[in-house]
Amino acid sequence: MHHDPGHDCSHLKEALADYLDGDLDTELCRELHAHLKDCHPCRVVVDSTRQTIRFFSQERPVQLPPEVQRRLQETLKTRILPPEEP
Amino acid sequence: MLKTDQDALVQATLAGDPQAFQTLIEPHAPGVYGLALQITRNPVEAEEVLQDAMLTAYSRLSTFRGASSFKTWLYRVATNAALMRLRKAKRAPESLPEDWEKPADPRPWTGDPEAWFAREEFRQILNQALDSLPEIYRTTFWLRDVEGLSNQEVAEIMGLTLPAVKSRILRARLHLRDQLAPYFEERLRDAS
Ligand SMILES: [Zn+2]
Repeated sequence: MHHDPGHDCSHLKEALADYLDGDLDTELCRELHAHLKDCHPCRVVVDSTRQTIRFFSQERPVQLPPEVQRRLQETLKTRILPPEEP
Repeated sequence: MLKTDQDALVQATLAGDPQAFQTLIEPHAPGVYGLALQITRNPVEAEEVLQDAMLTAYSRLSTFRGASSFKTWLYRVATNAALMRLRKAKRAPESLPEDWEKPADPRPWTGDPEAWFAREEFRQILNQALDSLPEIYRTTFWLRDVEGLSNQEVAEIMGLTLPAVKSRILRARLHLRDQLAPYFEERLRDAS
């Protein structure tokens, strides 16, 4: 196990936010990228965090329940729209 | 909605056409409701927030400057409406320990993603994980990773600096990862 400053696990926390966002073009991200080649635990964390993001990003968009939609329209009608002619 | 259509609808609303406002908000209503659900975790309150937010957006529309997108502006209005409600209910903001501890021996998630999605309890697992996140992290994460907004947009909606948004999202992602890990590491053992 080697501990030269360019290759330790501290890069994970420092660079992970940018790394996951794909901003790879910083010194820290390049160091993390290199570190991941040698460090299995860090690689597992990065991969499983990516998988976590993927899971949630595939969630179906929230649908407005029809009754919520209807009550919203009623509220807007009474509070915003001018009263209809009798 | 094209930006020009949107601008025209904003102008028409301000000129006194309430129907234009309905058209303007319609595509955003599900997103606002979803956001309110994340903040309140309660469908009744989420509906109240949705209504509050739309009425507030209507009465404050003249303050919308078009520097941000209408969606970002509306989400900010909705976030404020929801947070006001939480404060009234005197729900104390929760937090996560500032520092995330890397697991000592993380195991890979190498199962088949199709099989994961097919699991009956898949959505429930995701929901429980989200529930375990304190509100401020959950909302930030949801806007970024479920709604797919940019860090910059999330910062505008939440009234946070960009570095604060990034660190909150990372903290949320790692917490969710830790919550999901037992399920998806388990899968590996099941399969073997
Ligand atoms: Zn490492």
